[in-house]
Amino acid sequence: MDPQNWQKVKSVIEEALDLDPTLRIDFLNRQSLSAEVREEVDSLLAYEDAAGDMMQLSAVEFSQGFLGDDPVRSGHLIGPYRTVSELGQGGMGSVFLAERIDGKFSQRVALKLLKREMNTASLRRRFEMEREILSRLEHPNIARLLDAGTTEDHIPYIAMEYVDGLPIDVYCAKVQAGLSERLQLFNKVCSAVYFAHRNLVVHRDLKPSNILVTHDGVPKLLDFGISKIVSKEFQDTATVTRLGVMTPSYASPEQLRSESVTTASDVYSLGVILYELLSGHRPFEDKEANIKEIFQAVLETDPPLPSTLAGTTTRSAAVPESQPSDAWAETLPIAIRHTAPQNVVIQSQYLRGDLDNIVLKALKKEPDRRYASPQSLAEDIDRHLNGMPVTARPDTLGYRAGKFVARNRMTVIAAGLIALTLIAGGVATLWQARVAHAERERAERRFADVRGLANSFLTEISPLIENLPGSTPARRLLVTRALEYLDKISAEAEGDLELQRELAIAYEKVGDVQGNPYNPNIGDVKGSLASYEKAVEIRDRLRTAGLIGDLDVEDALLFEKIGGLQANGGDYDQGIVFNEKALTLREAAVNADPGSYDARASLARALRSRGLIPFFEGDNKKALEYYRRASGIYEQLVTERPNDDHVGIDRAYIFVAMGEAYGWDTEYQLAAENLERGLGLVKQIAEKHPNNLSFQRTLNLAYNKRAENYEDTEQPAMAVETYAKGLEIAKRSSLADPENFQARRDVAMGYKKMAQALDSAGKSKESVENLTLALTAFQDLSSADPNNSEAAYDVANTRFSLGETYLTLKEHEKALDIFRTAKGEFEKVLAVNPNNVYAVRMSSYNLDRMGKCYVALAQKSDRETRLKAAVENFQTALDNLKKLRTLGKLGEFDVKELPGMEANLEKIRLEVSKLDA
Amino acid sequence: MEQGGQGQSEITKILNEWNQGDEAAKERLLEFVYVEMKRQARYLMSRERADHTLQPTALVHEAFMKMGNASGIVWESRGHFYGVVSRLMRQILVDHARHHATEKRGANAIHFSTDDIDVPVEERADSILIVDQALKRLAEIDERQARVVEMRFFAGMSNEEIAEALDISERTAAREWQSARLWLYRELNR
Repeated sequence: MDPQNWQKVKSVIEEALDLDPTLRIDFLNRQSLSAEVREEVDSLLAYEDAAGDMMQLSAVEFSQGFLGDDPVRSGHLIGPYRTVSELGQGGMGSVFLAERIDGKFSQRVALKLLKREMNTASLRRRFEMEREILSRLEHPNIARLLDAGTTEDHIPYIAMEYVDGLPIDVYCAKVQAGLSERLQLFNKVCSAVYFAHRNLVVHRDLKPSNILVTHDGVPKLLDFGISKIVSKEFQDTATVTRLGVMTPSYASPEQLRSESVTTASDVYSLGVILYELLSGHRPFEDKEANIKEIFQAVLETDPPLPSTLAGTTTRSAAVPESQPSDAWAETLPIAIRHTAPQNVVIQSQYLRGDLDNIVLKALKKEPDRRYASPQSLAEDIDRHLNGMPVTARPDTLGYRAGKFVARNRMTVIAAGLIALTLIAGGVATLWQARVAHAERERAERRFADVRGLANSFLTEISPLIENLPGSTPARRLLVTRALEYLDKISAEAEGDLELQRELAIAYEKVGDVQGNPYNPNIGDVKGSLASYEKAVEIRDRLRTAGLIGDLDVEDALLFEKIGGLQANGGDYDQGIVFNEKALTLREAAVNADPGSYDARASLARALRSRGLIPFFEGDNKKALEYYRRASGIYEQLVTERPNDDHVGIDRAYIFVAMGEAYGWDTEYQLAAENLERGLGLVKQIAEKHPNNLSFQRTLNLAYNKRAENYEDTEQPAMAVETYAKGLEIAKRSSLADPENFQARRDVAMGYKKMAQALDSAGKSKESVENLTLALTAFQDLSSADPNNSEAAYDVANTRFSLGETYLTLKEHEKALDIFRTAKGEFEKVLAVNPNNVYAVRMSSYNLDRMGKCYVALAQKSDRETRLKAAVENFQTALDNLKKLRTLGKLGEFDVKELPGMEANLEKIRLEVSKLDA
Repeated sequence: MEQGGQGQSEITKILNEWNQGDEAAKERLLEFVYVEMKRQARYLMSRERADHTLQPTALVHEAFMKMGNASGIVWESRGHFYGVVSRLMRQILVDHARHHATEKRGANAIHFSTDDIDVPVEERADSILIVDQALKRLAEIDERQARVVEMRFFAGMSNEEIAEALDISERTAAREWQSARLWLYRELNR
């Protein structure tokens, strides 16, 4: 039926339906309709009675059953688990109690499964993100990630530690917990949230039903389903829609406004929970029935003092957070969903004053007026418990009258720096002045503010911008300022262990920015080492003072950084010392908990770092031993968590490292196999994360190593092509952040490698161009960090290559000049470390080439002097190279070169003696 | 209903992206509405209601208002809002039906009367898909009429709401529905 005819049919039917059925035929006959239209009208009118109850229901009503929840899949097999019962339902997933069926021991887990109909790409990413987040968080008060995978029909799941407990509010009511018990329990929750923050994770959905307390009274944080990792990579994923699954009663004003959510939002939610634990009520409980009112209240209204609500039993007091009509209740254990908390026993007189102030400080509308971290919230509670003055104070009139500052991220940083300067200035003078009691309190308060702000710079803001292009100078400023202030206040509070510990972390971060070769850095290796060593000193002091905790992990990481830095700078002995220290700690951690994924991942990383040193020293077989051990561990890890790309890329790169070591050991076939495999794997992962600078760099390195093997096996065209791919990546990274020392070095290196390959391909002219670019780049880098012997070696070595190219072009005078300069540069490097194998080897060849230049030039003029100079240079070159033999570092290539060099020396010596005669 | 403001460009942008095949934009909106619809389904099942006066628009409307409040999205007009909601609801319901469908027709055609509510899930899912297909055919000969059915059936909208959304009279909305009902009945019984 065409549209015009249909319009006719419709209008005729409409009129006919208005008529009494007996009159219709007559009406239709009078319309002079075409046969087609008439037939259609008759056909449809015939259904009038039958279609009477057509679509009484809307599709939603009709779709119940399949729009609603999945049937409980108990007894179903999911990966190696069998579901036992359903624990809860959420917007995107279901949680089941399940048992492991393949293990020797029966293990009960909470299995979270993405719903079949929610199995879309973006939700899978979010689910994946939760897995990623949980894998970072091993803490006694956080439910642990045990396993992850996908079902046969490709639905992702994660297995978490099953927590058999009650929501914290229900628990407190049930055991009739007293005030200090509630506060202590709450402080443990704070420590878990703080731990998450330090691992750059914001929970964003803290509420009693997400905090279960076990029968032993241990609180456990659950459900990182809408959490967020504070890093560039994950930044775009979550804003508006998060509200759909968030619980508005516990959400901070900035969350309701869908502004950027930071750790301060978690502090706010903790404040609501504390409010509820103490008073038995949520701050705006009476507004919760109306979504508009609750929004308005959270955004604009000051909450009533908790003490004014304590002991009252309003309608709302009986409404638990997890009421059945709560649409946002994500993954609530069904068994407890309907349990209402009992009346709370805390009397309002105990809340008046300090606790009122503490709760309200956590609930400030402006994120930066809350506690700087869950840690400082907990500390204030501790102070209260110990009868010390707390930092929280009621708002002053002056503040209330003041205007709010408009904020965005950059102004926060700027305003923060200014505030920090002002506050810190105040602290130092106030503290020293031993002023009256009241002022001392003020000082203590400011002290806490400075500390909070400085820590926020280090743990929140700096990581946030770390991978942002162009951020290196901003990070340097932030980190050094924060350090200065922490340093200043720590001098005033030597007994405060936690503060000392923060100081150690601060020094470490400063070291990272200064020169950690595995991070974007500003190339100040000496400063970096000094900062790291200061961190070590502080931790040693903490250990003697009896503080333990995570010190081992922190130390191991630090030792690895120092070891790497020392080795990179050419001090292999110190490198070994620190790498061994780290390795010992890593091995101990694995022995203590052989099943721990993270501990094994860390051990593998430590083995690789350890292997680098023999590799640097030319002992490839020893290096390979370490690499193989690391590789064995990695292969296990990737079968356990195939989607962990951070471990995945380390695992991939081990093949590259092994390939490189085989290559230096002249096992070219093995080298090619390993390199090809490693490059393929690295590429896969790096291409998934185009904004991750570190992954991109790994890919660049892999291309370079692959290309080296093409050179070794005399395939110069392939080598050039492969180097070009790596150089492209390095240039992109360097352009994005011109102050990033590491990226600049990669570019320089890229030019140099290109030049070498071009030279082998017989393209000397292009080679010279690339070498000149490389040399300039290396010189810039070296003069920025004159104490870095590696940078100095790079300059000398590049200059040597340039000389060689001119030698090939038979421009002997030019070549000789260049070799002469390189000679001086090599000597400087060797003065720092006489056993730098590369420097010894390359300086020998440099001397040999100088000798060759003299021989060539001797044919033109000054025959005798020049031949004598040649002999002298050949002799020293040989002596130096033979020194490698005594060190056991004589390479295959060296062995091949030696006889030719000796013959050369004899020949020229003979000529000289003829001349003498 | 709020008017104007910069928010309208946001929702329009999402819709445009959706129309241009941006899966992520679509998922963002769908997921949000889905959570709300789940809430309705649970709400309905939690009470043994004798009547079937579910108001999907009212509930989804609430959801969108929340989203609007939080994100600064402002609807251009009620009509704009209803148009978006009905399309979303159709999309969601059809997607869900697809997961449960058997691709085979049941023994008897379903007319979505109150008597049909106890039909097995699979047959109901199939029926939703059949309506969806039929509506696509109707849209080829009469776009506006197909929109009326979409709003009425998939979004549970009243004639008044439909009239406002499509900028037609209430009487026209009612008449469009009358003939569409006959046409659909025949399509479902073919």
